[in-house]
Amino acid sequence: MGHMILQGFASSLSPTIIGLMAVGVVIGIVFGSTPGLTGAAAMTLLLPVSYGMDVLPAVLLLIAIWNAAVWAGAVPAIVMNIPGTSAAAATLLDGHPMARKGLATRALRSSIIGAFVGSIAAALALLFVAPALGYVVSYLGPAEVFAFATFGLTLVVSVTRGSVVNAIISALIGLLIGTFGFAPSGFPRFVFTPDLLSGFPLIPALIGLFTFPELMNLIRERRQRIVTAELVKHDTFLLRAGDWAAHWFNFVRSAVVGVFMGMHPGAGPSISSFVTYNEARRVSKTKPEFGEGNVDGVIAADTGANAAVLSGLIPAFTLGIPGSVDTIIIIAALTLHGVEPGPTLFEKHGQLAYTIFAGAFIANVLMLIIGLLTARWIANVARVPSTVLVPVVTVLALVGAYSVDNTWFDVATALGAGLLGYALRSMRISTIPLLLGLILGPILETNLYQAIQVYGSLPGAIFTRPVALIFLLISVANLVHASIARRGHRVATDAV
Amino acid sequence: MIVGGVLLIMNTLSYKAIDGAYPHTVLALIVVLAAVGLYRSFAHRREPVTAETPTTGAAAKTSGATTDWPGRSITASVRTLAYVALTVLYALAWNWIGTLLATLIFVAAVVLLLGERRIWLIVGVPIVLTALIYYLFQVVLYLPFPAGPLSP
Repeated sequence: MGHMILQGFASSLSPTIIGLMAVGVVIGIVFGSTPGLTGAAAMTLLLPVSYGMDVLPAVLLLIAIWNAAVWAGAVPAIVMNIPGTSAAAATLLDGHPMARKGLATRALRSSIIGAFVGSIAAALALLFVAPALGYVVSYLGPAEVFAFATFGLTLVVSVTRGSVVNAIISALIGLLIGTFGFAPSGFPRFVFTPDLLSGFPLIPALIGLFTFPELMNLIRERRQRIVTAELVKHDTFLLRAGDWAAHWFNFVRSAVVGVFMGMHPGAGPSISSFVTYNEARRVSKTKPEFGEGNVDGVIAADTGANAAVLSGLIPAFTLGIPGSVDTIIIIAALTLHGVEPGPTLFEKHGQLAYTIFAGAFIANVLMLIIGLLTARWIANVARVPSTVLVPVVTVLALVGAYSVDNTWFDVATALGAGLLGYALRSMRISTIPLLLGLILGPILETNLYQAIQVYGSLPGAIFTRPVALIFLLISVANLVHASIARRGHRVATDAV
Repeated sequence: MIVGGVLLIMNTLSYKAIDGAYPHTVLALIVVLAAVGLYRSFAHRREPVTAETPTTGAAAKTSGATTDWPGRSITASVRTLAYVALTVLYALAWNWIGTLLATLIFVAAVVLLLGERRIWLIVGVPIVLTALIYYLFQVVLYLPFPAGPLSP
């Protein structure tokens, strides 16, 4: 195995492949940071182009795009309070408050370095323990995924500020919107127009939910630009050993948890970033600073998100199970070149697999370099006058929503989600739980449905699966703990 | 919210158990929690949470804080409403005059609405953005934008 890894590094260090991956990283950053465009969109577009290439450059190009796009979603989240991808909604919690204080460059630096550490951890997991982890994944069934999704959902009460009841209502609205369209059994629910058959489209809803309230607040509050504080331009955060001494454990913990979360089909970066954010907050000595611009929040969210990207390849490569659209595209690229992912991959194409993992390693280094070089420059977006920013972002959001599926219905969805988001924010209800509910709802219901089909009944499904049971108990404990903690906090503030 | 929830629950009653149980539970929880929230907002004698609509209160609160926005004659809340109206109109106009022409007009209108008076921005921003969108989405991505009966 050792020589295969070395050989892998040697093969993927060719100038052509490095150049191609650098292009992939840039494409990924552009698509990931534009609300509405996703890494999956860029990968789908380039899939036909990659037919003409050899299998190695083709797959590495796609991986470079994918990984960079997941990170780049954090860029508009920090700079504009608009997450470019759903995983970046956790970055926004502390990243944007940092930008508001003029620390956009520091937030972006922490974000890219976190993404780098997370990706490297996932690449290491792929290189050294992928086959072993494959066995772990094969044990996890619908009952476990249902439990993980439930756990992810209960995190909304601890990651958002303000009323617990409001957070839960927001999450439930998200779950409700997620029930539109076909039920797992194939029965159509709430289908008021044919466009709703497959439910509300997630990406247009995400764009609308976060873009329009932000722009409307910008106009209503007469802010001349998103960030009115003076921008700290020269930030050397994480260049000194002292910064690492203070934050290294956060990086390591988030990376390990992220790799673990990313392995589960259906979980992926969006759940992972919230879980790692919540962990960082839970163990922090400066808990009240979370949500006000705590750099540990940004580090945890982005390390966790990117650790869950490449680790999604573990079930894909070892078992042939795709956990997300992105892994489906990568499996497609492999199969089109005659390489069949699955249990036999390491026997038949061992060298190729290790070369791909080594290449992913190098793609991460490229992402780090390009991200660090552009961070200071990107931070200036927050200083663009509102008179220009508002119309430009409006148009990009609507065109982006349209580009997902080329239907005008998606544009209307984005607008509707925007007005809903604004209404909820005026009632001091955070829209982040809604987003999580919307993402997790279908995962939750589908896996619950499958678990009941497999095990006969709901208690049967849960009580015969210890891992699922433990995660469900943690979820309940988390809800109860958050409600009690918040109550104590309210009494304290009322007294003041 | 409560009324809407009850109406939707009635809709789900016609569904089979396996399809209806889950949305049914979600809806019931929303209704209960909305009622709890409503009760609390009265019990705590705070201002009812729904009072802060975009047209009232909020504008007065923030107007004193930042007054450096140009064109102070129009109030901020009217401007916000005008922005929403223009955006809805813009989305509808895709099907009348086509996306690109609609973008050109919409961007110029919003730049003006927000009080920008520098002529090079009023003219430049729409043209550059429309060109960018044309290039990225039509030339590179081959995206078929809707074209209305009046589109050029």
